[in-house]
Amino acid sequence: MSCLIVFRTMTQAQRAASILSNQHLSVRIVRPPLEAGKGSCSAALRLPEQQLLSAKNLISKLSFQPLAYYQVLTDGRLQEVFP
Amino acid sequence: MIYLDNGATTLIKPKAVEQAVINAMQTCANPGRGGHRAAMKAAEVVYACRESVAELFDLDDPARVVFTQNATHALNIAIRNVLREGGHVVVSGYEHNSVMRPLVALKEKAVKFTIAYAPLFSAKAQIAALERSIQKDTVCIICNHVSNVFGCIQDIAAVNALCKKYNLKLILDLSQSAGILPISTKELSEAVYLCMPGHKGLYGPQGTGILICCKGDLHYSIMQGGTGSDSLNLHQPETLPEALESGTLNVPGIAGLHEGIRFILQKTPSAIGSWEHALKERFVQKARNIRGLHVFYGSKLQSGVISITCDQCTPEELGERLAAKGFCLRAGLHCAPVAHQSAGTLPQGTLRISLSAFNQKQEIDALCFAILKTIS
Repeated sequence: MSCLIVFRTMTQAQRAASILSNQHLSVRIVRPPLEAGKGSCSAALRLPEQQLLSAKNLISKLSFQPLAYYQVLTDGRLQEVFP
Repeated sequence: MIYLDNGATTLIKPKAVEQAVINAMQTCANPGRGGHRAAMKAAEVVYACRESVAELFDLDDPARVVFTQNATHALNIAIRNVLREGGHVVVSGYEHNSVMRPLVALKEKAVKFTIAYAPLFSAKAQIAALERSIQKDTVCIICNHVSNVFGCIQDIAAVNALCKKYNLKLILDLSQSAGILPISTKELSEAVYLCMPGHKGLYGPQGTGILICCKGDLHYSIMQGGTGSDSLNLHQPETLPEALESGTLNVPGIAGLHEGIRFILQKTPSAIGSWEHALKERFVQKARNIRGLHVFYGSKLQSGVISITCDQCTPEELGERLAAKGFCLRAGLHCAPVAHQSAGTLPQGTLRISLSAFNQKQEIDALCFAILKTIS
């Protein structure tokens, strides 16, 4: 199971990815579906579900915050977590 | 050909710069405009360059690095942001038209300015002149780090202290110092914007520039458009760097710029600056003995930018004769009439020799010999 952390911009996703990677979390930048970006173009980090809490803690220290956190269900649908 | 016009643009670049441009043209699409491999590759290239800029200028957040077309573009954004509500500005006596023309254009928007004229190579006199020029409604000081005409180095730490004392914003033009002198955003507490070209001392391709937004969360764009983000919103996004980066970026240029900055990080600005200083001293030592030649010399207060004039002919004529012998120099006013006003070199201007990390001692010797032969 994996998770998506959706950011408003590609640069924010890249900044977050850089910080998470430095802490040995395995993240990949992806283009999320429109609905994940609350209907607007955005960028997201995909990471294993077990790393989500660590990632959230690290991201909470940044000057910007994600649009949303999602769990990717087995059928591919997205379920928002920490709404 | 001996290229000594690096103050205009560095022509000789690290080999990796050219290769990066070609690679980007072959593999990079539009960053942030798609999720496919080529778009993601472009986004990686752009962000890597933001990170290298942040490392070079000791900046914590790479998102505060905005890519522009050139230093003039960056300066226009900076000036129009700081003076959005009007007010009075003090500028040094050595500013380029990339500062002066935007200020003159803003006069109708209640922007006033004072030029703080000061003698050449006198950092203390320049600081005193800046301080004398501050008025009750002054909001900002704009200052270049190094004059593009005479290479005189301004004491930017003292300018920063002056801004702190009077609660003024600081815009720095690093066009002739980025990559050549050590610069840390952490030591420039009052700097709101740092502006620089990518194609001079940073060894990137032409068409690249950088605006570092040191402070503030709200920055107004002088141009609005697509950013690849927040597309439902018809207003320009406020987040950096997208707020100030409308339209498709110059990805091949930025890829090359990244390699140029990697070259500098490897060599260090201090080492590059020391090399250029040594070449300048070599030129001055030899050129001083040429009868009729005048060298504007500032010792340690001068970078690798040197202006000369001679009694026998105009700077333009001397430049033409040396060009015929294969030397690439620049003659005239160098788009900086204010600097010539300060130095007393109007109306003819000067002939400028500007160095880079790739110049060699033999080239300096050859230039001195050619000048001697030309004007004797």
